[in-house]
Amino acid sequence: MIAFLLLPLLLVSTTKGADRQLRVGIYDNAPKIFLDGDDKAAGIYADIMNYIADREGWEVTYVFGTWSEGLERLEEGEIDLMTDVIQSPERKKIYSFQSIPVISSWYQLYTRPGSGIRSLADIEGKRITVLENSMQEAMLIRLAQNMGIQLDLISVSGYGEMFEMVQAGEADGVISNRFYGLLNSGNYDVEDHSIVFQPSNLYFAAPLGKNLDVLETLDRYLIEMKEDPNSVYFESLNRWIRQDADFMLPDWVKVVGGVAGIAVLMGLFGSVILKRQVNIRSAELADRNEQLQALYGELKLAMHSLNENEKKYRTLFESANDAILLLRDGVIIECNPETQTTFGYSREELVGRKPASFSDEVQPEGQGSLDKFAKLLRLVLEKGSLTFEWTFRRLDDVVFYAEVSLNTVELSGETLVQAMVRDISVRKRAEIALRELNVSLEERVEDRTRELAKAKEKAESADRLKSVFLATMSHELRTPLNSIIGFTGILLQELPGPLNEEQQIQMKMVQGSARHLLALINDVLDISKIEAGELEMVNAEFDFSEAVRKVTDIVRPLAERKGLELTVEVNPGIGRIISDQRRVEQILINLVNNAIKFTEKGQVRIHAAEHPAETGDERRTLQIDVEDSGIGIRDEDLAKLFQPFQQVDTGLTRQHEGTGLGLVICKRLADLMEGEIRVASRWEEGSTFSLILPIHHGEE
Amino acid sequence: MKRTILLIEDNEQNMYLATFLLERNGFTVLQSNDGRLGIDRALESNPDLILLDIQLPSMDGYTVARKIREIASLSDTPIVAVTSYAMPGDREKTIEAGCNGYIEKPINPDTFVQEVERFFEERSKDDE
Repeated sequence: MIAFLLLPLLLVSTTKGADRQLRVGIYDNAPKIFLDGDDKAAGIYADIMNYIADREGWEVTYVFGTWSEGLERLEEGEIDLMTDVIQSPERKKIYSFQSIPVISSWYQLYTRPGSGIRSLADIEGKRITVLENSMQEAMLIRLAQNMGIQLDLISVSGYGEMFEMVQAGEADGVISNRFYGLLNSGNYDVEDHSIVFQPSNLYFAAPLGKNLDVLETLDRYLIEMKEDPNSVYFESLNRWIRQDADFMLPDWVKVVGGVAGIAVLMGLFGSVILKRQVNIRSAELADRNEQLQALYGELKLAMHSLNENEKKYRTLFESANDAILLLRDGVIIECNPETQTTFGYSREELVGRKPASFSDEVQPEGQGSLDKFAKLLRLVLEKGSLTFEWTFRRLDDVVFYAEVSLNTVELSGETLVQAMVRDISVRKRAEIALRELNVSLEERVEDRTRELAKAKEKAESADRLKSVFLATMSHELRTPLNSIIGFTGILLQELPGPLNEEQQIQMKMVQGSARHLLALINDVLDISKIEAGELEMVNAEFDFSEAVRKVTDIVRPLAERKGLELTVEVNPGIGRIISDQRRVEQILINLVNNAIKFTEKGQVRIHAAEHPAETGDERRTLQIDVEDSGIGIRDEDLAKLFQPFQQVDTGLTRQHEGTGLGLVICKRLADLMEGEIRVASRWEEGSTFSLILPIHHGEE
Repeated sequence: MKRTILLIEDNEQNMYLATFLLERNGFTVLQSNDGRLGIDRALESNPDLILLDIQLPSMDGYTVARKIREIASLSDTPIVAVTSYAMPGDREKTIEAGCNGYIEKPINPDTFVQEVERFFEERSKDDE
């Protein structure tokens, strides 16, 4: 093997056919690349590069510096190749890369004992050293942002320094590539954490568009070398990494692979030769596998806690019994399985549509669905939440009523509207049915009311007609009666000339009948007035005993004619009272007339006295009894007494004169005066009719 | 001096009856069977009292009473309504129209003249 010197100028001519000079940037990253004790480039990259250069006749000069310096030099064109570069879109803009990776690596976390870091979730707030301007630096910054945590990242120019800082307590952890960690971590008091990130491929890089032929040559050699287990390539790996245990793809690789493109890793380990070389580490790996799985679980947990709310939301979303739609600017971007049941449309059919497009075109109150929903969306963005009723049209054209609850939700930093839709058709139909029933009930009630009002009006008009009829009849009957009564009176007065005895008797009969007819007319008129409510009491103060005397004066001749004794006892304490004198007299005349009429012998006694009111209050009552020793009334006839034209009689013919309306009128009049008429009677022994009136005394 | 009574009444029998009773008792009776004509008759004869039926052809008694009250020379002449109207309010209506009194039909031949005399007495009382 040819040794290369750091001062290349001295060696230019020593290589066979040296037609190409290459300046290759290296840095301290053992065992991949580093300077050995003689300040010579060493490590995997150096072994490969020297082998190819030897074959191709390249004159290679290694330019040592920090990682950052190496990249800078490459950009400036101060070197032709840089070792150990990961590809990235940014880097591809300024560098050209080979296509076959030299080696693959990933990053691991090594921490100071007692740092408290157990999982990725614990690195918040910790001082972590990382290689300056490296991919892992960018990756960690991004990771911290994604997790929403604060990291105290310390960018350092070399791995050795990073580990020293941890050793010195100036940092809590190191992000190191696996190769460097494997080789060197044992030299420091650090814990190997099995937290791995960012598996990546490493390449030689050239300034953009330059040395493309060199890169192609490197590719060709690498393909060749990777197929040959005895090549320099594997010899080098074996030498620097010293792994010769049988390779087994551990389970954790699969698991981790799900997180971060571990496939690349497999590409490396997949090679047959490496298998053999990693055997040595298989036991160690199995052990780490266990650790790593536990840590991965924690990592997952940490990730989960980040979007726990979103998770919960999703669970609710998936399992809810209501249809849930997620809207962005009024357009459906997501919906849950229940929507298919509710609307009949699949998720794919719904996403991208507006809810109005599967609503009834016009809502029940007449507003267009599109406009109205847009308004409601604006409103919910103001208020945060909103509930309303809505009619949708299913895929099968069935219109149904729904209760819609709109809520704003914050998801991934944007404001979306969540619509929960619940089919309330059953409730709604019941409501509508109830409302219709109500309306029809109201209509029926109104109809009935109208009918009743009509009937009442009819009855009232019939009543008015009756009153008018009676008034007219009374007038029309009085006019001829005027003649009859008038002329019989004149004839009986013998004004035109004397009458013989027979003429006298007959004229008196005419006069009696005419007077009876007049009495009938007057009574009928009275009843019609009372029933029409037209009869009003005219209350005035009068001397009660004087009124009784007036009545007895009128009826006394009748009593005397029948040989009856008429006695009057008025308690002198009664004095002046306030009442309707005319009506009181009318009742009394009727009662006393009746008593005389139905008594053949004996007496008629009028007795008036004052009593405390039965109601027990301050008021007093006046009771006027008209007692006779007449025929009396049978018990069964008592009820008929106050009915019109019901003269209780014994014989076949009307033995006793009267209209049959007297007691009816008396009772009605007593009612009007808030009084009453009572009857006590014993058949063939006599009757007592009592007028009972509430008493209002006049001033003494 | 003979007192003059104007009788305004359209029923022939009633007219005869009242006239008979009044003349027998020394009154001079002037007759009219029509409301309007009755007013003319009252104007030209200037009676001491007017007996007025209410139901009359051409003009009802209430109107006749009101018209007569508007005539200065007749403003003090007693007017007594003689009517078969016996419904509530009838009496009040006649008084409102300007009548001094009210005699209900059928008249009682035994008391009719006395009732009429009473209005003369009331008037002469007013005169004192």
